[in-house]
Amino acid sequence: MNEPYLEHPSEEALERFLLNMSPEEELEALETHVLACSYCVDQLEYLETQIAATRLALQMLESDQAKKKSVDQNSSWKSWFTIPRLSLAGAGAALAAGVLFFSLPRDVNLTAFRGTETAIVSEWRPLRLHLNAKGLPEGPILVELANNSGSIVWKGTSAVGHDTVDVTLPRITKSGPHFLRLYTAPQDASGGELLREFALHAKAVW
Amino acid sequence: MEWGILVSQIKVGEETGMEQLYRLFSRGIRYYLCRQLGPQELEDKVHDTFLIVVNAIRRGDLREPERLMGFVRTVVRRQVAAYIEQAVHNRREQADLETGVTVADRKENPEQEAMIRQKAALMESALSALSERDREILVRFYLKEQPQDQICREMDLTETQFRLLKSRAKAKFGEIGKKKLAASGIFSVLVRAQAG
Repeated sequence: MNEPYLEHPSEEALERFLLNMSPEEELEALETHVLACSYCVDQLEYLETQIAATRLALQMLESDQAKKKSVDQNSSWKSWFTIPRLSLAGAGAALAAGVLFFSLPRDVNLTAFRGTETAIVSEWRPLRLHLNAKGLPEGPILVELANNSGSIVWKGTSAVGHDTVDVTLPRITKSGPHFLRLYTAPQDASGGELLREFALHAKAVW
Repeated sequence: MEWGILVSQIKVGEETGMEQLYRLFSRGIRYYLCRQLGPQELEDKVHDTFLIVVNAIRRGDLREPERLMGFVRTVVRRQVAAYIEQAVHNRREQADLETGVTVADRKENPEQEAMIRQKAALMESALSALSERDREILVRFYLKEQPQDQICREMDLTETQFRLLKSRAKAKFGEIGKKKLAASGIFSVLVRAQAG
């Protein structure tokens, strides 16, 4: 009874046989035994069903998991769209738009000298002014913004170039008439010479 | 088993010897041929194989009676090779006449298929209860058909660990599965199918 094919093969070996994974030596002994062993044929039939069911179950499980993964991925962005989140997002967007709106400078062309015509500018918005500087010598200048009572509310520098002076003003926070004055760059302590004055009226204009 | 007596009986054409040979090998040969070639004309193939074995014994081709089991295996394997060769030849010959190719039907019968499906559905819940690592072993082995040494290498397992983990995983889902299978009555179907 030394012959290996006279002993029942292990379940592992039978499984390997069914999965076509038996090494040649094992295969020879196993096949020889199985051909004459009804018990092992029973085992093989049982294992065959077991393996088929295991495979099917694993396939179903794998496919369920793949589906779940894809649903999770979909729902992760879909679940974001809840009413409170959308409201919050809407409010955030409105706030961002407001901030953007008020932080973007408004372009204003001022071509008239102080007189009967007064330019209307937006209150609470930065202003980018394009001032008529025709006849003024090119070079650096001082710019001042005074309110209706004559108080200086802002000072800055700019330059005359191509008959224009571009000035970016911060927000004017008080409505009412304002005056923008251009001075030559100061040579000494006495200050610069007034070159031009423009009138503007700050109003809540969107 | 006294192989010498059996071989002598067959050699002289004793019916008891033939019956015993058939009783001993018919189940295994049927299973083997069906596994290799499919269920088509299975009974004819089993019969042909027996004829070849008996004739070879009578001719005295089997010199060592204790080698009968190995001898039967050799005959069966040759038969399988011959059937496959014939099928290939037929396919070549009939290629001009037929559009399709005949392949062995290895599908289970409807009852078996239904049983496997039910079993699989129950196993699925049991398998989902396994740890990620245990399940990976089963997926690699049964689904991807990776050889044991590859699984061991890639999952950093010794051969013993692999065997233990696999049998533990199988036992675990077998336990859960058995309870559910018993409750569903699949075992009785299985018993009937095997008895048939």
